[in-house]
Amino acid sequence: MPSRRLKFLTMESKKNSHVYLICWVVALRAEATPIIKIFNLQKIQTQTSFSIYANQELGHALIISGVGAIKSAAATSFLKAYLNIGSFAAWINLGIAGYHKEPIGKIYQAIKVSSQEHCRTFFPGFRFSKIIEHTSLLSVTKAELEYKKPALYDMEAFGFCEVASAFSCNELIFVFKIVSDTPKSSLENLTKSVIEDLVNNNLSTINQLLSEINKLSIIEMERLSIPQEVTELEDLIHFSRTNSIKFRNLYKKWKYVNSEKTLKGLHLSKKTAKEVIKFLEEDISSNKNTRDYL
Amino acid sequence: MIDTVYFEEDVLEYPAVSRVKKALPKANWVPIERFQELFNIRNQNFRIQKKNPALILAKKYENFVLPVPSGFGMSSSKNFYFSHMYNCLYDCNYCFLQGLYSSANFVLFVNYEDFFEHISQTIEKNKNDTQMFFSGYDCDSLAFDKVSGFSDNLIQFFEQHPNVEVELRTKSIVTSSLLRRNPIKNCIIAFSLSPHIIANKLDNKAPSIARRIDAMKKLADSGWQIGLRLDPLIYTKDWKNQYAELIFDIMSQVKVPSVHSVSYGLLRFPKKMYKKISTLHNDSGLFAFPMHENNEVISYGKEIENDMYSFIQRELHKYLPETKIFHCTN
Repeated sequence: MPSRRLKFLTMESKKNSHVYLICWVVALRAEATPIIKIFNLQKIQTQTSFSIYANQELGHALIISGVGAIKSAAATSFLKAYLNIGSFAAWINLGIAGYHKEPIGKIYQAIKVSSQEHCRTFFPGFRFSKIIEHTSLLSVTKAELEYKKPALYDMEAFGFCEVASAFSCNELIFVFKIVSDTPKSSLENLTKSVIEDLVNNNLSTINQLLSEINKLSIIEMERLSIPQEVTELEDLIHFSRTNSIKFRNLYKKWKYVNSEKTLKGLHLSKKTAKEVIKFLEEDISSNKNTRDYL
Repeated sequence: MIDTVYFEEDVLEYPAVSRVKKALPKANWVPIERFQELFNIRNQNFRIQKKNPALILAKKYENFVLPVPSGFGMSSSKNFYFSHMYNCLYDCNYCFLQGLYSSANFVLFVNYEDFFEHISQTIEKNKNDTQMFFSGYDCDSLAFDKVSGFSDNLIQFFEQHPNVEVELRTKSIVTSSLLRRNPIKNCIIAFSLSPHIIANKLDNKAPSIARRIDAMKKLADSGWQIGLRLDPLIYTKDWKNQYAELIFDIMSQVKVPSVHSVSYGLLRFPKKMYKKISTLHNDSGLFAFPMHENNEVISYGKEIENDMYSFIQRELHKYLPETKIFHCTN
């Protein structure tokens, strides 16, 4: 039996107590620090080795995964379960990466993420071509020193994509990488403060991206949201799974033509799911010839 | 403008790819193995993707020419369709492609020669029958033509096969390549049309009805055969006046001899497709209508169907002979 908390992995919560729209999965603390600071994220005690930071008001949550695809995948799952993240949330893997060419410090959106080890490829994210350049990324198991292919090299994105794409739609999964090392500038020069600077120097672009990502998450949240009066009625009257789907579909149609009306008090006159469904069907069908359905 | 072109690595030699490169000089080109790895990803969001679709250049290996679904054709005894492209530049609320595909990205199959080879074989195989070929079932035939250049190739091919007909179905006004050349008698440029109030509301990103009629008139005046496609017919409060006005507008600008055919059909979806599309459009009136289900097909139901069909037939008969009017049932 899954724990109560893990059940959230398989079902959408009826009432989202906290709405997190943006979830960050970041490998290193140095990469996370600028994000934690700018969004005033507060540490949440998890009693695990994962560090989670969040700001409920701004709708941001962040987990520091550690290095590697497996840790990234595990952290993504843990954050989803621990904070009961909705399927409308955007997931962002931000970090540093090697690249085959200069300049150091340039930020890219990875729109093709591959792992030669796993022989699989992901194509994550809505592309923000007006804000950021796109490129391909190879997730590797050891730090890359040869940069043979014209791609970014990291160690987490593949694991992140594998898991995050099961939680939200593919268009809300983002991989943003900042070039930290190239054939001309080796990994050895990277210190915590250099990494922090690399992220800090790109905060303006990151903010522009977030503004667009927020809009997409809200579109998805609105599409997936279940009105409170629907869940309230389902709490008062027993609906089988089939009847619940039918009821929710009918409700959308009913609400379109009855935007001023509510279902409040309906449970007093309609005692069963069938009665509710029949009521909605009849109400929708009445006067259909005089309504405008454009 | 398309910002990203994903391409199968073995398509680069095709002439169509050079054309795409010229048409999209600023696009980012990303190699892929096969188009399905991107096009068929699970958990895609069609609505979000539609805000900025990418182009995928691929090679088609099979199913170049297929028989049309029953009830789709017109007077020919054998009817076939082919799809050199999946998905459409436009974003019509009722479009079945959003239920058919999980991706809004455009797939362009660049091995045009292989399509023509298979069409040739089909023509030869059915040489004792009258034949019609339909383009524009899984895409708009002309809307992407400035990039793909497909229609030029297509018309050159069918010019060599005057005994079979081909229909290019479109909502596009990209007709310059057609107007530059001599028309061919066996090619029908078929426009999908709705009353302008309905089109303004539902045919997102598509040219207005006035511009479509204008494009149609120019093609007709230069000798092209025109098809009128009133499909899907959309039910709304004032539909009779709206459709009567639309048919009047068209027929007052396009002369009867230029009209090859008119076909009409009610808004209808396979049940599964309707479910999928309606979840994409929570706030759409079109999907708020109390539809009927019959044999796994969702439509307005018999009463509205009969009413709309008899009205449309009457209106069309005011201008056109019976032989040019066809009723699409599928």
